[in-house]
Amino acid sequence: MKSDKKKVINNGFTYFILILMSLFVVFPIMWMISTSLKTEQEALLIPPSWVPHVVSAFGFSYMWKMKPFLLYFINSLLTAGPAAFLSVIIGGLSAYSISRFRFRYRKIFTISVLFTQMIPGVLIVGPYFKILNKLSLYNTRLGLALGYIAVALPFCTWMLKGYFDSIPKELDEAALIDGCNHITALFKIILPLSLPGIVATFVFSFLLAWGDLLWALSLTYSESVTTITLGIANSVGEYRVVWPALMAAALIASIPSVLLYTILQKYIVGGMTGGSVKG
Amino acid sequence: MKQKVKDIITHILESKDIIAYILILPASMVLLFVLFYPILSTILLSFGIDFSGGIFTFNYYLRLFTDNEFWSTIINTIKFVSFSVSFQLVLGLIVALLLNKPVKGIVFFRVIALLPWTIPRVVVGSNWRWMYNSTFGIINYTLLKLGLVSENILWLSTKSTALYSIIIANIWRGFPFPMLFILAGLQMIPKSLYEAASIDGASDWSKFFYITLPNLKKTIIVVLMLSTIWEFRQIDLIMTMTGGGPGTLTDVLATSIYKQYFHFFQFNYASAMAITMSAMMLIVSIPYVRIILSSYEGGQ
Repeated sequence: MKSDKKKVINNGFTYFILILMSLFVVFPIMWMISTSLKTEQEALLIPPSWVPHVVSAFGFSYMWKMKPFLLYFINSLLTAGPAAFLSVIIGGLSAYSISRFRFRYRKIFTISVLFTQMIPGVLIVGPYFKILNKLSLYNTRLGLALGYIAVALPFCTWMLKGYFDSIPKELDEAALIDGCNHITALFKIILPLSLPGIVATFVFSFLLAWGDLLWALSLTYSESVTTITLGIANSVGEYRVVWPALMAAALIASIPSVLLYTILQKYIVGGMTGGSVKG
Repeated sequence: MKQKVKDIITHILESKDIIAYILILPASMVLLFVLFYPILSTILLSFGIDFSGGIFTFNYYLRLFTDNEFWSTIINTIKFVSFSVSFQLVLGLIVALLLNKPVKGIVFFRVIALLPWTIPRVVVGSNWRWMYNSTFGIINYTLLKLGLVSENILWLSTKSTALYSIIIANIWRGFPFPMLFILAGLQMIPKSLYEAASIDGASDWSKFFYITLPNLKKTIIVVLMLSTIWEFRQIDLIMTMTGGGPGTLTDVLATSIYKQYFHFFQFNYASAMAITMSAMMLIVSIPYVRIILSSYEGGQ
């Protein structure tokens, strides 16, 4: 009996703290949603209203006129998408190599990949900007996408190595005996078995680029190549901010990121540590 | 002739080493052009040398020592990283411990708890900037109504509050990250350990200190290192919330280097700062690299 009572109190305490945590988490998000549904006048009301008096589509319709957000979305897609795609392919090949082959410079290569993850972006972006300038790729989607490959590649290699390591070696060894070579073994055995991990890696690389500000800020200047995050960051710094429209844009920019991370959350932990801390 | 080409291809496909190197070739090229070249050129630039020439000098590093702005940036960085990481970790640990309990509706709370981390930092920064708005912001309004402050506070432009206001937003954004790792770590601890302890009559607290914490040690070190590295290098939140301003009040190393490079075109000086920052990060990340490499070699 006594332990039952203790359990009820314990659970009550758990719920109490979890609800506090939820309020802390949800409050800023609700405020963002609430603002996005207000008219401009209501957003600047003193005292502010928690819930819009009149739910208005002003923010969601004005944002496209305020800034070319549709173009920004397309730019984000056209840089983050191809960059993620190429990073997964290039990263996948090297991950297969360090997962399955024992060659002389393997350790050096692996350590280099690990260390490049730790180098601050601000160190790389400066010289990279100069290279792009020389190749006249500064302020182009291609230049920005190439930059995102540099960001995502070490991460992809590391994450995919973790997945490939988790596939028993005996499987591809058996395939080799059955007449596969190393390349067909990769396509017939490794790829199908690690497909969920590959998809997760692709999505994470995409989101890495989707959420980026530093590279877009440093490598582009004109509206025609501005990404969504840069567009939001530019708008928030302007003298007159139309908050409902900005919050509407911010909400839409968050949707892919929130959905994909939530769906793939079980892959995050294992992926970031190359399987050394299991998720 | 055709047979010869075929022989060579078969030879390549059967020689393990050649395949291994071919597989890492594209990645090595990318690493070379977009990572090693920039690092090399930054190191050279920091000593006054670029690829067209220049004279070797320590001046840019010496200038760092006498630059008060640089030192205040270092202090800001240390504050930003240490407060963000420690509060994120503690909050993440508490939430993870609760989310590991088998109570009803826990899946719902798990989804809620991860939310802030799934939102792009630029969005988080814009939203908090709006909440901190001194005239129309919800934070001042709430605090005034509760009687906690007597007048509107300029959160992001007052010396005593600006950096801490950003740190609070950053804690909100970042705590789910350690939470996720610790939750994963908790689920790895064998249940039998707790059952055995219960039979021995151990209290909840002693279970926590003698079973949970020791088993989480590796997870906590890894997540501590990862968060430190990430917070060290991030510029997004600060750039959107204050742009490092007013003046250089909320500048951290990363934002300051960015400005030296892209606003003031002080390439040499920015490079010296970037090298200093990387050295700091490498020192901080040694334990992490050790753990990763040891488990990586041990797993062979």
